[in-house]
Amino acid sequence: MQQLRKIPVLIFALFGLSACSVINDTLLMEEVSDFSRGVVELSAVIESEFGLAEELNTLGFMDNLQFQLELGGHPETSYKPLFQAKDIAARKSVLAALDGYAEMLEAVTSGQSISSVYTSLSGAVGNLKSMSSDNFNIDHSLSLLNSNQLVVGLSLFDELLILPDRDKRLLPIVQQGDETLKKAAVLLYFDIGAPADQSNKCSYTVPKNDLDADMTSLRLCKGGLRAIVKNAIDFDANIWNDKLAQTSKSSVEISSVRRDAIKRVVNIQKFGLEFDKLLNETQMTLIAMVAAHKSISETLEAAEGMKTVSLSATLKGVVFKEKLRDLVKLLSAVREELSSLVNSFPATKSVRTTTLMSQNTGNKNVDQQ
Amino acid sequence: MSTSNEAALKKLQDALNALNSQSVSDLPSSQLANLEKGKAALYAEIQALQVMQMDERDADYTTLTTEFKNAKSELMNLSNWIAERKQRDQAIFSILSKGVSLALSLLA
Repeated sequence: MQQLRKIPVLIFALFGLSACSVINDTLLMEEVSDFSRGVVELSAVIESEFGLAEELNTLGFMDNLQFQLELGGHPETSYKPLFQAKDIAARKSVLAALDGYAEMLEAVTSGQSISSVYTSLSGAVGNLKSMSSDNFNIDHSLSLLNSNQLVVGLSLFDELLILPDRDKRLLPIVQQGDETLKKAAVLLYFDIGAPADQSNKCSYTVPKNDLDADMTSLRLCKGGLRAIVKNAIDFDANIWNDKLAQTSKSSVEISSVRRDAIKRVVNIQKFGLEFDKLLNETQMTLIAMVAAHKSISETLEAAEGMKTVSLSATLKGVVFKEKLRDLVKLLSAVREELSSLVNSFPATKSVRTTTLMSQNTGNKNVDQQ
Repeated sequence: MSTSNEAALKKLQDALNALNSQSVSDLPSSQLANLEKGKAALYAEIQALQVMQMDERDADYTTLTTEFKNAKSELMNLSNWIAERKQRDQAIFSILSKGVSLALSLLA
């Protein structure tokens, strides 16, 4: 009987220990799950941005082509895409590999992908959970415990055996991942680039960046997607400026066409600002992604007793999630605006038609001046 | 980007800026068409050089892809290890739960 009285104490201790482990694991699982989803979404955003830049370049090419034809010129009609397949493939591969890493990380921490074993285990746990207090008379020494609670506590026992060892093995992989992820983030950050030089040194050399330092300290010279987008916007806006200049001395008949052209030249510039904001926010989200991954390492280190989990570390995951939510909204707005610009092509047609009509009816003020 | 590319980019940009600053309202259509053609050619060259700057990072991306794949592979090994451990622990767990059930029955 003496021995039996120790059972509730042991079970209580076991339950308490399980609960502690579950709290740590829940934090880790949440962090990893948010991170994994975030990475997949961010990868999709970056891929879309390359596509949008290509589409914008096409728009400029078509506007230029049409304007040259309107003027009776003989334009070069073969379109050369901005990016070659190999450039896109290199970026897609790293993004896909990053997605794979993030998803596997989530699978390891949640145990979801080890389906067959996990299903049978869930079955065993389920059977145990099906036991209820009705099966027992708890008038004796177990009366201090709720037996259902005990059953739930016991069902966590299997996790308790595995988690510490898992975390110990996971930590070096995630620490190594920290470095690789930062390298990828820096490369993508440079790829997105800057619309203008961010350092005085750019006029004669490339500023040296400490890649181990905080990514916010990076100073870029003009280049990358942001510069490409700015060039494309300037190019297209310039075409419309020239069209406006051509119609400035034309008859009142084409004032509506002029209005359309004015609207277009303003809209393309507004779109440029939005697109650049999207790209800049993507860079900020890449920084947040690196910080979120770092906080996973810190949570694992805390599980190993190497350090305590700080509130700021936990917040990094939240910041990444929030930034990503805003980024996805911004991408959707930019996509819609570009689509609206592309679809406003009939307005361009009316410029041409009206100009030609004016010329044919003897209104030759353009050519004669 | 190499210095020669940087210099080429600057020259092209200067040339495009010069064309853009031309007053076109008085130009005949044929000349304006040529001007637009010239601008398009310079623009295409500038964009190609900007993309070339990005091309230089292709090899780095390939290296990182391999690193991520290796990390994924290590995670896969860990996942398999967890699966094996769970199978083993399940057996222990089953014995323990039977023991607890037995103890509870004795107390009932």
